[in-house]
Amino acid sequence: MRRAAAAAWALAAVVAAVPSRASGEETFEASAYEKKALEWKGYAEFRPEEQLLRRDSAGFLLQFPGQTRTALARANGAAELAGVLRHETLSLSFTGHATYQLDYSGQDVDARVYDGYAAWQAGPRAVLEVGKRSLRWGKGYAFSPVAFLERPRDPTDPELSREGFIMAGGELVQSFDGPVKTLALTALVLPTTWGLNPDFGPSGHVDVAAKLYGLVLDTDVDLICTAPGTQGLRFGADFSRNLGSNVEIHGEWALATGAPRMVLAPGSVSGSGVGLAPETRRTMSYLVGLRYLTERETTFILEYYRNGNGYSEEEFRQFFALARAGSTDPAALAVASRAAAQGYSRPNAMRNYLYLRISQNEPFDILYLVPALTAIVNTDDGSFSVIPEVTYTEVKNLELRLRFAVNRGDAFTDYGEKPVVARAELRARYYF
Amino acid sequence: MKTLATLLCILAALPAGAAPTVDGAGLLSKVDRNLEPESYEMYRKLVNIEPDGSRKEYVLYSVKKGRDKLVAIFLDPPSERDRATLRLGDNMWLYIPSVGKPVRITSLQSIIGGVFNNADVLRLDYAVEYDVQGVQEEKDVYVLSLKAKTAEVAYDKLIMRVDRKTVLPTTIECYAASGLLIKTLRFSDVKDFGGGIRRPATLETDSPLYRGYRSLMMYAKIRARQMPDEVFTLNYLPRTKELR
Repeated sequence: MRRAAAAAWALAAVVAAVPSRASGEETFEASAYEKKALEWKGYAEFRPEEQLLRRDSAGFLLQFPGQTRTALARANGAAELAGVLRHETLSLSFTGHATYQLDYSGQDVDARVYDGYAAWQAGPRAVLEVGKRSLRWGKGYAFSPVAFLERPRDPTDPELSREGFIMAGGELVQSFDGPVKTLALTALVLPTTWGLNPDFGPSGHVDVAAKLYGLVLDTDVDLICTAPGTQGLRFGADFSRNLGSNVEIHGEWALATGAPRMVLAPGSVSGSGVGLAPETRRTMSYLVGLRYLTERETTFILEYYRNGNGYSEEEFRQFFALARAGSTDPAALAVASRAAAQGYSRPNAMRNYLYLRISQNEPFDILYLVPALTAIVNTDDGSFSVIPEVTYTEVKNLELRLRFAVNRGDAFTDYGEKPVVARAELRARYYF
Repeated sequence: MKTLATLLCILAALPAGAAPTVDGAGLLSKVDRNLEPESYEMYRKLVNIEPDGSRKEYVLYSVKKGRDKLVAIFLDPPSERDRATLRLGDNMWLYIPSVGKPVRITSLQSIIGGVFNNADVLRLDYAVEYDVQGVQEEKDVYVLSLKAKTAEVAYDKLIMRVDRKTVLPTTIECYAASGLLIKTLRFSDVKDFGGGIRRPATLETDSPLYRGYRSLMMYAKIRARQMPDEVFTLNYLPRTKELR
């Protein structure tokens, strides 16, 4: 079923990509851009990549058990279609995403709905929404500790679209004159009952969330609370402010009274021990960051992230040791694989990270060219990932991105135990 | 009669410099109102033309209210579609659909490639951002020297040439604080948009920083329109396209 859906997406993408008319005329007919009952857009992309693998890493042993390969070539394809259907103040919004992957192990196809919700705009100050919705809370670029109702963000590519959760909610907005220019209250209900949102948390719960936004003294401020549901009572706050025409600062703070996580219990290294055990803790996470733009249009984004629910160095060493033991002990490999899937291999799984991205807009007066360099450092163990890339958008609707990534670190460190030493990829994305 | 003739002779003999000085601030405000109503909606097409003749086009829909509230959304090309920007005074945000949340940006940051930047795309009234330092009168034009009111404004100084008959700008030279000419804006193709709005339909830009490159901005459907203040909020930004 998923393959059929993915094939349908791909076909829709190809059909839509065919230009409908010749371009180049010096005219502007604005009526062609007025609102229509049905509007849609999307993209199709092809992304070949080559990976150099680190055979003695824990990540390799988990991902390629029993193999001796040192490199991996993979072809990736993706298509996304988004649309909105309107009738007066009602609208239906939809985003579908399909992926295709081909490598030594064969092909894999996946298709899923990222967003699918109905909205009623009850006036300029109120909107009600119900359905599958991908929220984006927080001010952080690479990390967001207050993103309570979202799937994890990939800090190496934070702008990738992500699948949402099924929820119902509403928003009230009011503008003012004076130091407080805007106040907005958002309220949401996210259930894990009746088989809904099985990957959000344990079933049988209802998470209730509220977010109060204010534009206060030219500063964006959010106060967030989620009531006891799948993950306990949580509080969050964030802010963002410009310090001039070229500097922006932001921050986030999150407190979880019962944050769940899976940890390896003592004795599990042998493979015959207890294995994984759940625990809940009171944790505090935070983020501070800035965005700085130079006169030459170089943008710096710097963020420090403290992950209160992350694993300590000692806990990660235990995990890596278990994975290494898995090369000769199938029981240890099984436990390590479960640990990886249930938390140890998620992005930013340890406690302290530093993120830096430097991008240069159109260097040497080359229009549409943007080179960038991203570095993510695990400040607990000193391991890091460096990602140089260049994006070129000169051809209409076509975005080309060439990207390399290098993971470095000692044994038993976050990036030193990644299965991939280096990676090169070219992404060609066509928008329609 | 003799007294009147004597008075006329005296007036005619007065040097030009003694004529009543032009009210620069009033003139600049009139230029603003002749270009567009204080609260409006409009469609714009931006065209970047490269030295080899290749082009890149963008279509924008924008809504402005009062002195300092403005929102604009890209309608074309598909790669930029639904990308929206909001300006509230000196505060600016950019909403990119794939990112899914508004991000604060600065006035100097470019939201698209090419010669136009944020200040051109999200321009407020000139009188809001600039003080008139001086006015020179030439045969067919006034020449206004404008100085940015704050360091937040993208161009430190403007030299604006205004047609005396229509009180519409013909060219604007934009300078950095260092005195460097950043770009020149040239207005042309004056046409009637209805509702008493008669103004240039085309704005052409070139820059010594991008030699050989040109950018055009074409205007359509400029209409006076009042929107609720809540339209100019971060919460409404993802729904800006619904305003059309």
